[in-house]
Amino acid sequence: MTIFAVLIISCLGFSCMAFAKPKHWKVIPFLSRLRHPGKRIQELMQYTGAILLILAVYTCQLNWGWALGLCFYAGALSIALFFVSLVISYFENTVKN
Amino acid sequence: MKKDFRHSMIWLHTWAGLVFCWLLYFMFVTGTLGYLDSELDSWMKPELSAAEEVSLETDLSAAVTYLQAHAADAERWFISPANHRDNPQLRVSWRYPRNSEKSNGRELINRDTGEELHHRETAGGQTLYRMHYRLHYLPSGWGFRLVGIFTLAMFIALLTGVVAHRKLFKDFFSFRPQKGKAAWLDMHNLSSIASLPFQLMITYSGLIFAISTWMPFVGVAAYDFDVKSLRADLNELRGRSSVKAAGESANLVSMDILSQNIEASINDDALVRFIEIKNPNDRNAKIFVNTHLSGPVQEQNKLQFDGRSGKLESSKEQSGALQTRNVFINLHEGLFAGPALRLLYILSGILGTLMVATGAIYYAQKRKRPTHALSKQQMLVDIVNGGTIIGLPISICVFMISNRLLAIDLDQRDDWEVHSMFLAWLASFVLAAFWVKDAMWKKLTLVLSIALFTVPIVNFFSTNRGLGQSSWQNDTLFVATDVVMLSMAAISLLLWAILSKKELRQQSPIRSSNTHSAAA
Repeated sequence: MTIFAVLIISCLGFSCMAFAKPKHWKVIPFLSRLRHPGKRIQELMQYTGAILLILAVYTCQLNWGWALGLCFYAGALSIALFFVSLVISYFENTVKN
Repeated sequence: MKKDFRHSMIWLHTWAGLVFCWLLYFMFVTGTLGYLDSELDSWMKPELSAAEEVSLETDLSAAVTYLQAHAADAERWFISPANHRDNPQLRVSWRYPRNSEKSNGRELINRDTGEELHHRETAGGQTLYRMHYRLHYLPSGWGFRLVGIFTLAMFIALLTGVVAHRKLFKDFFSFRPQKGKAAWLDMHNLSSIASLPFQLMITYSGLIFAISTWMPFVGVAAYDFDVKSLRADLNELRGRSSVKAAGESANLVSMDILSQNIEASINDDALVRFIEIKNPNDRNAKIFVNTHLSGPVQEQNKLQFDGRSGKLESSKEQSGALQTRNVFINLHEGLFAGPALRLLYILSGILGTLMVATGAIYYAQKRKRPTHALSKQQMLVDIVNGGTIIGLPISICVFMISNRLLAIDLDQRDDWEVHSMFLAWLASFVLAAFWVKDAMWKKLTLVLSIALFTVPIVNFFSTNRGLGQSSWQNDTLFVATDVVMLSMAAISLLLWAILSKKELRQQSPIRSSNTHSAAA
């Protein structure tokens, strides 16, 4: 079950990092009216993303130890990044159309 | 000379990628399937079902009774208890000295009856996995050397790719499916950046496998080119100490004492992977025990027991260099991975496959001009792309189908399974060449989805473990294989539908302009 937690935390982390970019900002429905996020919001999103990704590695370490934990972490990051990018791309295309 | 560093890297990335990509794709596909080698093995032996896990003693006693009856004078016995995904059945094998006339053997054993388990002769998942590092139809040394060169090319392509596609760090999350050529580049970037840690690890550790093949003189020179003493030392380092037979017969320790001693010397959660008995029935009998890995760092070393008393003699510490090498090898093979981590390994492997495939397609797409007809070189690249990227999965389906359809008593049946796989691959190249000017991708994906659909259907009619015949509880492997095959067939059918729709959209403006000109 821990692997699902790690995947969810990594997905949230990457989503925060993506939304820190003005390009992907408009995907969020209720904030899309704001053309650009302010610089402070951007920084806040980036830091939150980074903290979440660190939290994910901490969860892995806690559950499996460093050797096995890092294997899980690398795998989870790959899947999370790919998944988040596809989801964002899907919403961007439906928003545009 | 290119004008700057980045352009040199782009040049190197393009050519190292293009020249080697098709065989790298083969290595990625067979390597990813290699994480399911035991599962594929079991699928290809539908007569057998996984044995229930019992005590180590029961397995060892059954195996030793069998070996005493069939190979009492062999030099070495190997016993793998049925306690892990790698060994769904109790397995024994035996080896005679090199100069002996008797032949080595291996069997799966029914521990209740002590008899061999009979199953169809099959190449199995192991053959497919061996192609990943040895290719096929080549002398094994050459296959291995060639794979080493390709791995180096992959490593170069990875490192230069990071410089060449520097935009991927800027546009980390970008995938624009509507953008035509850019969509291929986006997918290439996305799949490689997402799985970059895995790619770097798998390629670097792949190079470590070939370290003594491509850098043989480092070791040999340290021994003044005396290869024999180097080999002897290496064998000792790997725990294969050279124990000579005394020539006096003696009784082997009873298996209940041995299994008690083994269980007392390994960790509680450790499982015995295999036991090697050297010089059985001799005064100098030695027993070596290897455990399954629980992580990339080997915690348990090889244990050595006396063959007569069953007492623990030594557990060898490995040198730092060997341990470092082993960590990389273990990470590459992923033998320690449980179901969740194995799934992550497979998904990362699929991302790698996607990276190679999209890279190859992007190269071809980038050079196409809509107003120009395809040049001969472009056509060749298209044929090889289509024949490899779609043709290889088709041929693997044929490999699985041939396991069910070839006559059970066919001579060299396992070889014919592999031959049918390569014949199917050749046929896909012919089809690709035939269709290259006219919707090749669309037609090939349709063939792929038909091949994927055929696997569960053939399985349903040729075994009694098809979909609906077996349930998730008692036959997870077969149900899972059917579900995976059907979903992949659905995905390729979806791809076919998308490509057909795209083709219609492209054709309609031409048609309408034709009707306009006819009316005029």
